[in-house]
Amino acid sequence: MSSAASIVEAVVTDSVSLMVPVLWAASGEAVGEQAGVLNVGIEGVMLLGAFLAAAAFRVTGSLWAGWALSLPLGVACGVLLWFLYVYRGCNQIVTGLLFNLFALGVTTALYERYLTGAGIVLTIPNWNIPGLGSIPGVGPAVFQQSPLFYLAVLACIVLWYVLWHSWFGLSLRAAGEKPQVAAAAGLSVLKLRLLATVVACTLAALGGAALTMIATGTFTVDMTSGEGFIALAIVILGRWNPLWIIVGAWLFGLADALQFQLTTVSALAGVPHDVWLSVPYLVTIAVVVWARGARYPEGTGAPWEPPHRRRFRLVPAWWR
Amino acid sequence: MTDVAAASVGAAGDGLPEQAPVAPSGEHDSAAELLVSVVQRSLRVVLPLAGSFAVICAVIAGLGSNPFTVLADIVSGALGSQFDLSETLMVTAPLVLTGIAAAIPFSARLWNIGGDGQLYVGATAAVLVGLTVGGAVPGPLLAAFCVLAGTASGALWALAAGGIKLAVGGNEVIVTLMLNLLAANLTDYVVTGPWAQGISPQTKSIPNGATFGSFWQTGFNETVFIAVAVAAAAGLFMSATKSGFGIRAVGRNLDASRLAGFRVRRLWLGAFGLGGAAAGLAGALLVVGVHSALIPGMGEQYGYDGIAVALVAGLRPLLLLPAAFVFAVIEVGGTSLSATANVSTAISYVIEGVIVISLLAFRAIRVRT
Repeated sequence: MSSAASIVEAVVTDSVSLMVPVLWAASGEAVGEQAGVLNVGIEGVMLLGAFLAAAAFRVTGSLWAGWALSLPLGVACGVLLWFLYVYRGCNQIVTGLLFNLFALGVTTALYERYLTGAGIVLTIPNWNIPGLGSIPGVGPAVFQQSPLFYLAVLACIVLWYVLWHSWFGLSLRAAGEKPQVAAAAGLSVLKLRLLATVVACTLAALGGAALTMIATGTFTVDMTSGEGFIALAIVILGRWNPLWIIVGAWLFGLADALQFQLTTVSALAGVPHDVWLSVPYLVTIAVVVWARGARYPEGTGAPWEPPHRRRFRLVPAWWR
Repeated sequence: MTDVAAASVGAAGDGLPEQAPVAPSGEHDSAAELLVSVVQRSLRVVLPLAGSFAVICAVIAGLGSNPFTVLADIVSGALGSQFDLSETLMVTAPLVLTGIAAAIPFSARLWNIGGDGQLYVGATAAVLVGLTVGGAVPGPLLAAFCVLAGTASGALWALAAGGIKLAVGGNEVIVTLMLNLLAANLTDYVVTGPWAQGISPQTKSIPNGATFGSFWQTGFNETVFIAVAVAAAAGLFMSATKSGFGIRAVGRNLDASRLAGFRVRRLWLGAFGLGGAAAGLAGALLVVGVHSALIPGMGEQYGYDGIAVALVAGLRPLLLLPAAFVFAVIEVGGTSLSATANVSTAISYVIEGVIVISLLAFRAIRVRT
């Protein structure tokens, strides 16, 4: 039986590595929601990213190849979802859900056709930051992590600066808060939202790839299992601020890590395993209840179309 | 804003101007104009269907199979024989019910995507009642108990999400999805716990007398009639009762219906409860009518497909019947594929997703409730 101290250390270390995929996804989602796009399809984008990373690894033998391929994948998903959510003004919740169904179908079918069978399972090695990594307690948990963790934290800091301390971020938030005012001030809401959706989807795809590269090392059917929706809750918990989202994501990492470690505590051996599996989901519901004061950016989730826009016609106007 | 639905209500009226307004048929100056409007309307359905056909063919070709053979196999696998047809009808029934589980709350602009969890909780309750009460009461009465227990617990599972929405304004999309994942864990616990059958991962079977038989030596049984009756009742409820009108009014314009004296909170809870009851009923019927035990994965993706079915039916309960039948053809045909072609059964999710997304993109169907 492991001692209490080693369990705590394992939980903290696991929690940091488990938070990485969801941190990528949530930081991107924050950008999208700040600009007024509620990307419910985040789960599907993550799943596609995870699949692509596994497929690229199988073909090229390099995990970083999948990571690189997630970028164009995310951009493509972003443009497609922008077209649906923003340009065509489809209901974002419903369209996102159907995109998730589509992604589940495509990845499952491709997986069963091309990727089944025992492949090499490999995860990327951790980086040990010299000096800091040997600090007792915190060192192994924070400074001997996967490079994707450092990159995610860096991305959050950059996003925080851009969103809250630049003119561009101000425009983006204006487009999400009051699109009609932003448009009256001369901003192109559609273009701002395009950029935000592309960023959101790219980071979600990278998060999906991170899921393959860190957590499992291989693809399994429906491997995201609600991570995208957990990211939606983390964004609320972090109040749309990428720095707070790091903290929020870590809480979920903690809930996930507890689930793995508590099963090893003999005093709790009688508790069914399914109870531990449910902990992250219960925490998510608790967060949604607890964050009752949280206010979405006002325009988030609502379609908005600039007035007097030339619209695509199925039958040319001169026909009439 | 505490939730997404509230914002979309505000934007529903002014956000989306009607695209290419089509005048009522009486106002056309000439036959040519009437023709143009008819063409415009039908193009809005035909173009997305053609587009999604192309995308689906491309995906199947990408999987290394001939798309035309696969699509023909899907249709013949679902409608080819009396057995296939009865199987398709038996899949239609739960899809109609999970369609109602989405359609009624969606009409009130409540995004209940918890049909999946409500179905599993309903099935779990039905099995537990069947196993614990079984033997003490005669078969048909036990079947009724199972169905009632499943319906009630599905409603309660949905009311948990509805309660959170009402009490603190929590986003029901996230909550219902998490409740789905929790229900999956609950199912997993029940099939491995004290009620486990022991051989395969499922519970013991409920007593024989409590299950539906089958007609004409196929799988077809009363399940289908119950689903049709429930759809008819739901259609009547939504169109001909004050509460049904209230649910639709709340979805259309929250403030106006509040001013008109509708009790919004009660209607919200009612919409969630009725939706959950329909999904719970689907789960109970899967137990009583098909499997006679709780099996993980027996609900397929009915809960999620129900959302697509409800959208295609324009949230109208009676139109759910043909919509659910089409989806059942895709599902059953897709399932029959793995035996014949080298294509995963998951292709049916791709087909459904692509078709509904492109119908949404062309505004052939709209979520405006």
